[in-house]
Amino acid sequence: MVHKIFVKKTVFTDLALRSSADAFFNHLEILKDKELVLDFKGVKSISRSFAHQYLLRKKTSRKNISEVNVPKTVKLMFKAVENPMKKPHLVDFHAFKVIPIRAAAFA
Amino acid sequence: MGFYGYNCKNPAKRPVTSLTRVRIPAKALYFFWCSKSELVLLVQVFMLAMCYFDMSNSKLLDSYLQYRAYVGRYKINGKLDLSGIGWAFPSLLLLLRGFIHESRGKVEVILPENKSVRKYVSLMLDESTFEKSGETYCPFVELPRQKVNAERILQKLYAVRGHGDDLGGEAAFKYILGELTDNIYEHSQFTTAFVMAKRYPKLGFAEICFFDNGLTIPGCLEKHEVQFASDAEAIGKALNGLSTKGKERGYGLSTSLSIATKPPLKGDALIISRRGGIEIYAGKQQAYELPDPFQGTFVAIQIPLPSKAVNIYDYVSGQG
Repeated sequence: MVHKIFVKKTVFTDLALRSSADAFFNHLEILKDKELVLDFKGVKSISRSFAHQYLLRKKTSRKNISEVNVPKTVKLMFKAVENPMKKPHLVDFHAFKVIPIRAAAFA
Repeated sequence: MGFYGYNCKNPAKRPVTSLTRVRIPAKALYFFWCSKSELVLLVQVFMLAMCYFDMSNSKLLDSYLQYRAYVGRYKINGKLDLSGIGWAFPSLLLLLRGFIHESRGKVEVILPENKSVRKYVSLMLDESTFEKSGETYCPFVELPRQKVNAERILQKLYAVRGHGDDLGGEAAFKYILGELTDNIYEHSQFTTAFVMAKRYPKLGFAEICFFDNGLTIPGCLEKHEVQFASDAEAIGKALNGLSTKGKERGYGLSTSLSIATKPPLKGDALIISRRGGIEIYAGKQQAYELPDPFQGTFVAIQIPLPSKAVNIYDYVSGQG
């Protein structure tokens, strides 16, 4: 029997924390049904951390999980996690020069 | 190499510790008065121009330097004397709030003399209840130690800030808040953590700030035997995606700050952790060594307001 679960109701409309993905899957694993359909209707945003943890847990889950009504925002994030990019280099270590902030002279 | 300190006789004033910080008109008068030849005059004009175009501190770094000054005076006088404050951004207030909290509230605070600022600062430094109305600010939101309650707190933050529609768009705003909050839970082992966001529509920017009293970025990397020459370098490595939890991780901090500081948002950022600091300001980076360790991690972001929506997937997929 297929059990449908609304992600928005079980987690939140905005999927942010890695631990929330873990808690979500911990909940799914104790359900009796083997076949689960996760309905993403109403989900507004997803962080990369949540998406990464979601996909990790899905891979090792004992359930057969499928997703429906997945918003474009979520699809794009899943795609980004499944095809990881080279990490952005914000800091240029070649130009790295550390300036000491001197201790203030308190009077 | 330069040195940045602070005038602690009046911490409310901007720092005056290097030549570039002296007011332009006085410096101009001095230079032109003293010139004795055309060549000397030319050199002095050139130096003056260099000073004018020199990169000054960002407001975020100024907030940190102000915080250091106030805390320094507290250590001498036993009072957190904020009487001289004419204005206080969230970046300063969050640091002070963290300091008061870490001192178990046993800090005598002298509030600002300015009545309107006094009320605002008093509200920010008190254990206020969370405001849901359409205000331009919200008090500090303390992150619960239990992760299970954290999402609910984030939902409240999103709602108060209008879901970030004019702060780079809903997706960018929530992404930055979510990822940086997640970092606190995943890495810091904090006992106290705060998040604050405030909009200044008339000034044209918003600040989003995070504080935790946990391991620190260098402390966390050290615990996992990562080598680095300075705490600033440790922060730099984290900004470049190094994670203690494997190669598949480490995207949250780097992508969040890329979204905030690169075009089109072109905001500023400051990360302070233990004895290191990195500032991203006007597209440039600067690393700092702090004279004494900051007990925890402080991340502050300043984003122009209003800002059009950003396609976060350009950054998450490596195209940004």
